[in-house]
Amino acid sequence: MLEVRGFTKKFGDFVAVDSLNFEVRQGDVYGFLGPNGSGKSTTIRTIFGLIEPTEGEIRLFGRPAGVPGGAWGREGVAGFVDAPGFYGYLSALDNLRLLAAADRRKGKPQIPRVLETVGLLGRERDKVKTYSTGMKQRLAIASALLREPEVLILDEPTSGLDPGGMRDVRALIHRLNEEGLTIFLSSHLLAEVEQLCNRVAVIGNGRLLAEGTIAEVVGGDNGHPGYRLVVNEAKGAIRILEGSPHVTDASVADAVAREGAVGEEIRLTVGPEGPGPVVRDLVGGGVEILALVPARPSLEDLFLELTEERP
Amino acid sequence: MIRWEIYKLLRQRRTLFGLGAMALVPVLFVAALEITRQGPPEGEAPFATQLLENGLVVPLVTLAFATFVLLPLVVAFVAGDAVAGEVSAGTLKTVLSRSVGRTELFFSKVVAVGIYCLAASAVLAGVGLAAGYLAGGFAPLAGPGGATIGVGRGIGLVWGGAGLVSVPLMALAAFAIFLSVTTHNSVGSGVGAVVLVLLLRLASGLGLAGPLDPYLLTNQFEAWLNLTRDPIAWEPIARSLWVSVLWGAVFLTAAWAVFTRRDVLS
Ligand SMILES: Nc1ncnc2c1ncn2[C@@H]1O[C@H](COP(=O)(O)OP(=O)(O)OP(=O)(O)O)[C@@H](O)[C@H]1O
Ligand SMILES: [Mg+2]
Repeated sequence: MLEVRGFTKKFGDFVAVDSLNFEVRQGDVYGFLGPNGSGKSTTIRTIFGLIEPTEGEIRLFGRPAGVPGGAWGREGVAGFVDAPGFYGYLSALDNLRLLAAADRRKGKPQIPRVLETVGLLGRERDKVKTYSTGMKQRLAIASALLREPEVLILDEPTSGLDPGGMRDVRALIHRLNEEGLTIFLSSHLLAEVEQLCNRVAVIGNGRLLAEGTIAEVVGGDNGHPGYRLVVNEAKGAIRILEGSPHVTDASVADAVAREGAVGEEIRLTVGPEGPGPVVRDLVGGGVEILALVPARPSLEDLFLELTEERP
Repeated sequence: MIRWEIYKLLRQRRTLFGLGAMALVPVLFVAALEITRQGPPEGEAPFATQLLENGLVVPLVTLAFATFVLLPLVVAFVAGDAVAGEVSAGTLKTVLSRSVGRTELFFSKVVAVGIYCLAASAVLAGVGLAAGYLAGGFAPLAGPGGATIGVGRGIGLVWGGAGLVSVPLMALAAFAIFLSVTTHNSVGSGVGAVVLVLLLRLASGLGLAGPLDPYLLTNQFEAWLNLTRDPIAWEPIARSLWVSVLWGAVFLTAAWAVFTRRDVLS
């Protein structure tokens, strides 16, 4: 549905995005993961035809996107880039009506329905300048849904939201996908992408660092999950772990001694059988297990790993 | 989209402020007249000598006075905001992510600004007539050649003058739109257009333009005075119209070319 082929964007001599390649398929919730300034918004602008690629192209439904003033009207795609921009001096309702007029779709725009979907029904007559960040973010999603798109493009849809707001928006994204919408969302939060997406492209400094399913890209060594293991005494535990056939990797974590922390921490990666057999071995060997939690790699960890892998 | 562009203008404070200023000019003028009982010196403005006796002169004098700077100023700041204001509010990217094409959006804005030019001139003329009538009533005017201009034709003169003034006004608005598109700076575009007016007036005043002087945009603002002649001098009026249209077309074409090609980055 959405193909990015050798997309490059330069601002003067500065290369913001460098020969990016990936493809979003129907039904995906596709994550576009990268830190600040990595080129996410630049890519999304091109999808909307707001900027022109320096090289390469982005294709939507088999047609080239990214031609400013281009002839085709972005049918089937909707969303937003960066912080949503609305007319603050107009009501939310007027904003939606105006955007519906700019859509020139046949039939009456389903304004009450999209307001209901994002939970803004009842506030639509308020001027947008009185809206909170979270409300604007939700209005942006509502305005995108108004186009009844097949692909929804969301640029950091949870940025600036409180935990409750994040949860609502993520639940909404999940629901929309179940209703058949393909979703492309950018984020700098690894946990968010893991939670929502089935596929992901990781971008850093404008370059593609990794692309594939979440398990392929994020899941530690070859998709085998990592854990944080806390034991009463690390040395003995390591000896047992090194002898275990179920362990793929174990090392004592650099001790950042926290006050009141008990035990010693080990980073552990296990085989496909999961952590069960390892725990049995440890207990059998007389090690006291204080905690065993799945280690969520941070975006930082992932980046280190991905950039180190590159030749 | 035209309807929405006009609606947006109507809902913005700067637009209404401009129209309010245009309404205020004749009102303040009449108030000052009532207090001082002294008109401007002869030759400064059309029919100035009859100002104290005839209310019909009020809209004519205020029109001549306002076209000097005030009317261009009010229009420049609205036109200068047309694109730049949307860039800084982040709404341009929102609208351009929908189906509407850039060319259509551009010309919708142009039409809305054009209507604003007409509205500003019309407010000036309408309020001028009302204020003049209330201050002194209407009487026939003594025209420049000694011929008498009846009240009916005098009123027609005011509206015709306002109409003719709005044409170079639109050309100036086109320049402000061009600045708005290229600089993305709302205030800068308004100031830039006003500076153009002042520079052209200065050039004309110092005689720097030589044979090109009749073609300076600012000199088109005076063409309506030819309506007062008997018989009406149509030739300079027609020339003023095509000169203004030419200025406007050049600026609009340039603005359109930039607007449809430029990356929308904010
Ligand atoms: N108009 C511009 N001129 C020059 N450089 C630009 C311009 N717009 C963006 N850049 C640069 O391009 C790079 C990518 O910017 P982009 O906005 O795409 O990042 P992003 O991944 O969306 O970041 P964030 O998470 O902060 O939103 C940045 O280094 C930015 O400084
Ligand atoms: Mg961004």
